[in-house]
Amino acid sequence: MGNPLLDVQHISVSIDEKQVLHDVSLQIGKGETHVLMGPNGAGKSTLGNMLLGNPVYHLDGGKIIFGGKDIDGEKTDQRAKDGMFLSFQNPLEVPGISLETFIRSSLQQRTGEHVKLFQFQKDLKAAMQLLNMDESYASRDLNVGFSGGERKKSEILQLLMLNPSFAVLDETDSGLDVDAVRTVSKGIEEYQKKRDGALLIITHSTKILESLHVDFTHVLVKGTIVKTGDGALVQEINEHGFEQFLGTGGSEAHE
Amino acid sequence: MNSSWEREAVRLMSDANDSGKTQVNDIDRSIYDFRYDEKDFYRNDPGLTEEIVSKLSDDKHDPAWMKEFRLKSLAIYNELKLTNWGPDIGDLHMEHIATYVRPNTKMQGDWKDVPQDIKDTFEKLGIPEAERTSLAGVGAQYDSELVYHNVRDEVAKQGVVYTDFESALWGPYADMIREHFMHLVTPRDHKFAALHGAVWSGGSFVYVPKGVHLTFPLQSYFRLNAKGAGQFEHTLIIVDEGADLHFIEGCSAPKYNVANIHAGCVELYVAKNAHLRYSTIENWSKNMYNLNTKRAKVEEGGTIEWVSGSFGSHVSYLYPESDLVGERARAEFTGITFAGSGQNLDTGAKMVHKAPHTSSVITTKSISKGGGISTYRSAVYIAKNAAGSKASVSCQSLMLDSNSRSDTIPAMEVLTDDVDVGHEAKIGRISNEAVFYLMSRGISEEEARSMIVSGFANPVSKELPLEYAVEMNNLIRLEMKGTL
Amino acid sequence: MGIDTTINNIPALTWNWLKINNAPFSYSAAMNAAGSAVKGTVPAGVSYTADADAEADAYRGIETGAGKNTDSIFETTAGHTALIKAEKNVHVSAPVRIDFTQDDRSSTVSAQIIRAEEGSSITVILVYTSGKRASGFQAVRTICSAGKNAYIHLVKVQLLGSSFTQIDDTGTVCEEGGRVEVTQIILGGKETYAGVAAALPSYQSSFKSDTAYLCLNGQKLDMNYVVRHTGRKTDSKMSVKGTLRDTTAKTYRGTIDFKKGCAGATGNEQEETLLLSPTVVNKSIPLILCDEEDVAGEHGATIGRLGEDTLFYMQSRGISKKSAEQIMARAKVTSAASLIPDESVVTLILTYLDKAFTYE
Repeated sequence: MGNPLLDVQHISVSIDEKQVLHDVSLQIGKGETHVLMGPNGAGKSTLGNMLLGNPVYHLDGGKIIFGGKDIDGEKTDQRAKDGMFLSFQNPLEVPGISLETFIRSSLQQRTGEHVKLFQFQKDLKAAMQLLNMDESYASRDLNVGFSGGERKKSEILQLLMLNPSFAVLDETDSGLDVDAVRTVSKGIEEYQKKRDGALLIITHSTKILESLHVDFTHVLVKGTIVKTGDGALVQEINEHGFEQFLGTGGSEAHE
Repeated sequence: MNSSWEREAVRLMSDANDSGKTQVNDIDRSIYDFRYDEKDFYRNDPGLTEEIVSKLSDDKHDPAWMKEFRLKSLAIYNELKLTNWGPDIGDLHMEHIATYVRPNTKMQGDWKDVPQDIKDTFEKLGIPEAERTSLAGVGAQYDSELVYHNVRDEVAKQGVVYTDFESALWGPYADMIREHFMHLVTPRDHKFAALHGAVWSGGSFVYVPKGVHLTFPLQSYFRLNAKGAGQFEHTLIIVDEGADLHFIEGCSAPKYNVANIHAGCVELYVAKNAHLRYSTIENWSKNMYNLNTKRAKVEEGGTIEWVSGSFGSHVSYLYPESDLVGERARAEFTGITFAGSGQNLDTGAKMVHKAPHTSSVITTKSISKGGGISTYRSAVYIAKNAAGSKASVSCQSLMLDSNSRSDTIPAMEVLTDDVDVGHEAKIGRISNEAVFYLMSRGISEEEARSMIVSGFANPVSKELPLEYAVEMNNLIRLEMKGTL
Repeated sequence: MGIDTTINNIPALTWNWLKINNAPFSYSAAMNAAGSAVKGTVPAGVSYTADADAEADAYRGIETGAGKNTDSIFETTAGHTALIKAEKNVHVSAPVRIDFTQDDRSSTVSAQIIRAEEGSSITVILVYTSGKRASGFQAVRTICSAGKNAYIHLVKVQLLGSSFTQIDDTGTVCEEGGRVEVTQIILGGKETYAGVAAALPSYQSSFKSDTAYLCLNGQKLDMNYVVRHTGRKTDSKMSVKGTLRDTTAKTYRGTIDFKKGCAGATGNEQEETLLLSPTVVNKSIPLILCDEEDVAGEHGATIGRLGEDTLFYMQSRGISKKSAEQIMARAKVTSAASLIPDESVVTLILTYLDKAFTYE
């Protein structure tokens, strides 16, 4: 691949002095959709968090190059400003800040410009409609009292409004019912179309991928990528599970 | 309803960029640090003797009963000891503090006639703008004396009395004042209440007649300017049956080398079915000893709401007390305390249930940072005859680093069984996960922490009028700056 | 012996008018040691030394709940300090039980040291009984020292007569990974002063305490519980549940003290008090003192009478108000009693409870 947007080179990652990822390499080009699958405890969330620079994880070796820049040492907010986004597996409640204010502040940080209120509210309303989110959520405190499904929608809403060039979706479909998965999937599709953004979808079930176009699939087992294929690999795993890949990979990871 | 003078003050206090974010650095606090040479100003001898208290009383043209009251209070002050709990105030040397400074000007009815440098003080703090706004009136205090005060026509027409304390002693409400003055907070309560009784000066008297609902808040403003001077203003508010009032008290003082003391007193009488909301942001300079006593007495069906933000002062002892003496009386206290470097803030609330079916709610937040000490101290007392009462206390503390300290000391005394008392307290730090979450959206670490702390303070700031909430959020930002 | 002092002192003072900072205590009478402490069978792996004054020295200075002001009482325990020790890596399954049967008009003092060596675990049950209307004075001080990764479960059951005064004092300390659990049931006596101080100076040590009480007919209970977190990742959980009825008074002081350096520590304190008569006096003061940023502390208290919803639910099942109150009061005690690994002790407690409620 020529100049990938994201170039992960042989990284090893640990948390609390325990190694979780071993010699992981990955390249994601502009506009590509990659899927990262694997059994529980493989280290999938670790990868997502590491890309965004979560300080609890430690980069023991290797490089992470984003947009041609070595981002090791760059703080999380700088990476976000560079165009990265992480949809969290368990989005936190942040009392005292409304969802709307939060998104507007984030936008302001990204663009460095004052956000025009009228256009912003129009865009927000449209995005919430697409995601079947009631308007009232905009003025509620960020994730406070939101059900699991609503929190995930809140993450995808932020994805649509912040328009990053690269988004990591960490187990976005976990805990969602059938309808919610479909809605969230619609949101992801919208992002793919509108932005032509690169995606790394982390999941261990395949429901959410059914209507999405997938370019590459990677299987992570015990902290190592044991197989890379195209979209068809997803179907294969759907039918046969991860059995064939177990027994390979490094030590037990902490997700 | 916005106050342009408040916004002016806020703008003067910080450099706001277009995104509304404030960048405040040390120098901006100096807005409160200016003072003027005290050329002609009259000063009392330092120290407290009977002669001084007598002279003070004579200078103020007190009625005879007040002079006697002052002298009796002085005797009690000399008798009482300091408390055996709470922050150390050994550094406060009363003998060095002049207790009375009066600028050489008489009470002014019209702003035009007030001396220029005194005007400048208020101008810098944005007071004059108040005239043009929908505020009812502003009583602004300058060094123990009410210099400028004006009661709006509308307020006066409704029969609401809002005047400085000294003149009220001789006016048509003299008897009402005599009946109430220091009957709620008595000189015997503690040493600094006795001090107050002896040397009180300045403050406001407010009377809201039966059934009158004031649609906008009454404000008062305090300022301390003289080196070593003390502030002993007295606020007495009587809200008569069925009436409604929102009173806002905000104060500030410059930095000095000599210890400064604020021993004010606030007495609030809420009559049957009346409603009073008392909001304060205490932002005294970081060398002040803030030993304030506030107490409300609530009759049958009445309600008192306290909203309190404590930010400044070197040492604070502040526990607004609500005495619920009539059936179904209610009290609510919402407060936030932010103790930064060099501060020891001991704050909280007291709820005293002395009648059946009364209820009280305490919600407080406290933040400690940079070596600051914050202590939450409360007492909920339910008397034998207060059957059917409910009390709930919720206090949350946030520690921002390990140099700071945060203590929670809530006491409950219940003397009957027919009650419902609930209490919960939490202490912790800013969640790293929350910081990471905000940073992953491009928000800087410093801004993320500031947002989380503002979010933490939100339940209090949303109870304040908008301009105060803005001031409070700015104060938080100011305090948060330099965390990293 | 004469003593006139304040005990159960709270770690941080507050308004004196609340009269909650400490409990004044005075007593003067000669110790007559009338009454016997009978120990049950000592299980294998446990060594029991009845007269362990020499060893006792090593445990002096450990903070106890009733506090230093009671030291003078316990100085008279010459010959009465028992040392109960579980050897290294021994998991003693059967509890060590000591029954204190106090005679009428007796005045006794006793002390115990429970030491669990590295990797061991032991349960010690102390039961205090006397004649139903007996009078007297009893002071007990128990020190628990849990070695590395060791576990001590201390159970104290008080079923003394209606004119007894008791000071039940406890102090605990743990080494790395050590755990101490204290279960206290206080049902008898006229005036009881219970104090427990737990020190957690070592990494990942923990303390748990469950106390249940019932105060009827003029009983008085004064409590002081303190946990001091100095070690990293230490954990504490304290729970106090009980009922007050008739003219009774109870004071509860519970302190979680996070000292600088105890990063990662967690502390939780809960109080539930059921009030059943208009003549009760309840004082509660749950403190959290904090000098360390990286901690999580929580406390909660609910005080009052039987909730209307609960009452309605029970009445809809044919249970009268009085019965409902008894059921709830009982439940508070049985919840802690269920932690006691000795059937006969639990039976003793339940029997006592049944009889107590017939004092209508």
